[in-house]
Amino acid sequence: MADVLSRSTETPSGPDEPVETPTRLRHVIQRGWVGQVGLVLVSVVAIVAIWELVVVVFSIPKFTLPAPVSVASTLFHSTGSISSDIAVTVEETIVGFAAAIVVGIPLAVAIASSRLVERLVYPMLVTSNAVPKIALAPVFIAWFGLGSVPRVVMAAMLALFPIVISTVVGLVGVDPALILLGRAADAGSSRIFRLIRLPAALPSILGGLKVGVTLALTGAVVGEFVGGNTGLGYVIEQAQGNLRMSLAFAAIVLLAVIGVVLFYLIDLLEHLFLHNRRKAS
Amino acid sequence: MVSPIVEAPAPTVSSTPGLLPPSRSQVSVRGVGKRFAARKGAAVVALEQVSLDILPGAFVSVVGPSGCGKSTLLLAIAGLERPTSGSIVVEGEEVKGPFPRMGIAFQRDSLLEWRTVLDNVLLQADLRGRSRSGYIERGRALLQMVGLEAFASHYPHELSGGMRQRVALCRALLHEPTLLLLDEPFGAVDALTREQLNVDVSGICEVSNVTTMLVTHDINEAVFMADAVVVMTSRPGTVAGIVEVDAPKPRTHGFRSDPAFLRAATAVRELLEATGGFRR
Ligand SMILES: Nc1ncnc2c1ncn2[C@@H]1O[C@H](COP(=O)(O)OP(=O)(O)OP(=O)(O)O)[C@@H](O)[C@H]1O
Ligand SMILES: [Mg+2]
Repeated sequence: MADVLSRSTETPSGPDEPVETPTRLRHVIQRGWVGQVGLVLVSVVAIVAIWELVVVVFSIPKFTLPAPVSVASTLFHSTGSISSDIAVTVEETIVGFAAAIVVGIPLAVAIASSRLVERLVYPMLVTSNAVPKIALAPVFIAWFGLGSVPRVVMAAMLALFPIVISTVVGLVGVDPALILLGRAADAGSSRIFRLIRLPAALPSILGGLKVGVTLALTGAVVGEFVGGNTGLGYVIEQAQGNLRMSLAFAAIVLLAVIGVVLFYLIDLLEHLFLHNRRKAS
Repeated sequence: MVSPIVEAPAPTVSSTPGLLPPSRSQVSVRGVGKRFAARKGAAVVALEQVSLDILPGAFVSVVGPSGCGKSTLLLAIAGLERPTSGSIVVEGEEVKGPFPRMGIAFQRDSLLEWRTVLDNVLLQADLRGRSRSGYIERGRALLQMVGLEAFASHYPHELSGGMRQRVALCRALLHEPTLLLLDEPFGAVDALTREQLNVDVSGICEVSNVTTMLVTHDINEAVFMADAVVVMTSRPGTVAGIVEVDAPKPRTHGFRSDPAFLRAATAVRELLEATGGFRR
């Protein structure tokens, strides 16, 4: 018997050598993420350079497309005065996004675990998503007034669909053999959910959150366009009305920065949670 | 010598003379049938009148043509699939759900990519709601037994197919099962690794004194590891015959050229041919 067992001892040079050591793997992934952010910066610089070039070469008037330099100077001088608008837009986006998560993930869990809920809710969800939700903005203002509520609702509405869909897809797509394994160990459905289904669905859920957070920002800005007198959406609208194009562009740049930061925050979460998993092959 | 398996052609115990008393056999399958209702067309009869007894400590292989109901039989014994007729008794109790002291492993190793090797082994305790602290030592000992102690904190994607399958085996053995059910566990590994795993698992099952049922497509593998090979007919699957392998366990690589091995393998092939499992 001992003979059999000693035979099976792994030798480091055998065919079963690990692909990579964990420390090296972590290093590669971290460098990968930093590299990714670096590439974003490079592309931003490229866009600004092209922008400057176009304005200078075609001598485009300031009130049509201001040069990056003047936008930068506006950014530098006005960011203080519109800081409350920045805060408002960020807050609406985050609250709306959080609401979409709080509603969307339990809804997705219900859809994934019950045929009845799926049949009842799915068609409603698909139909409501088919309505161009931006068209609903005036309705929301009529319902919820001119405060931040309609904007938050708009942000949540836009973020909800991708979050629900990707969570459902993740939960339903779990390898049936894993579920069978749980049942064989006499685990109840809640334990199977906690130990197997949810972690298995995590990559898909995080993918949905990435799409959702960008849409939440869009929703908040659309809400600000339509009503109220705060937020970067309002700033853009006002600036454009007063022919202060450099201010409008400064606000747009700020929106882009907010969108990119939020996206990469979730990307960072993804790398923290999933860095040990096999890369999609 | 008591044969490790006795086929019971009749569906009930009492009507079959010469059958082992149920108290002696660990797994007792009586007249089990399984039909799957189809959405369109006729229902599929996967199993029909399957009866067999497995003695404690025996290693039994099941071979048969693809689709003959081998997996269905294994899942029925596992309590994961309800037979539509007949009954299954494990350790004196009628199977109604998963038997607590059962370990199971499938063709794909089904490791959780987000858990380390040791945590994958401990999943068995987690799923059963038991405190994992009581199992860490055993988990490590099992990994050592399959030569993977150095890989305890590695992640599955850092392992080869054969290593992953060994981790799945440790997971199946963590809670000290008395019955181990393996459904083509070596189906996805290369031939060399497979032969090595055959030797390893033969040893492990012998040391842990666990009754084992192995479903496989590979006649050589079936014979190599088993006390007896159950040959099934094509669908609807039933027991075509049983070939005993009269040689001591655990088996080592040399057993593949042993006359007892060759005799049994030939007998399995002849049985498959005689019952339509092989076309002439
Ligand atoms: N859940 C199911 N629903 C309907 N039919 C099923 C189901 N599971 C198995 N079957 C049918 O039962 C028959 C036996 O299937 P089973 O998987 O047990 O065969 P098998 O002998 O394990 O085959 P293989 O050797 O290819 O793994 C097949 O015809 C299959 O189509
Ligand atoms: Mg099968």
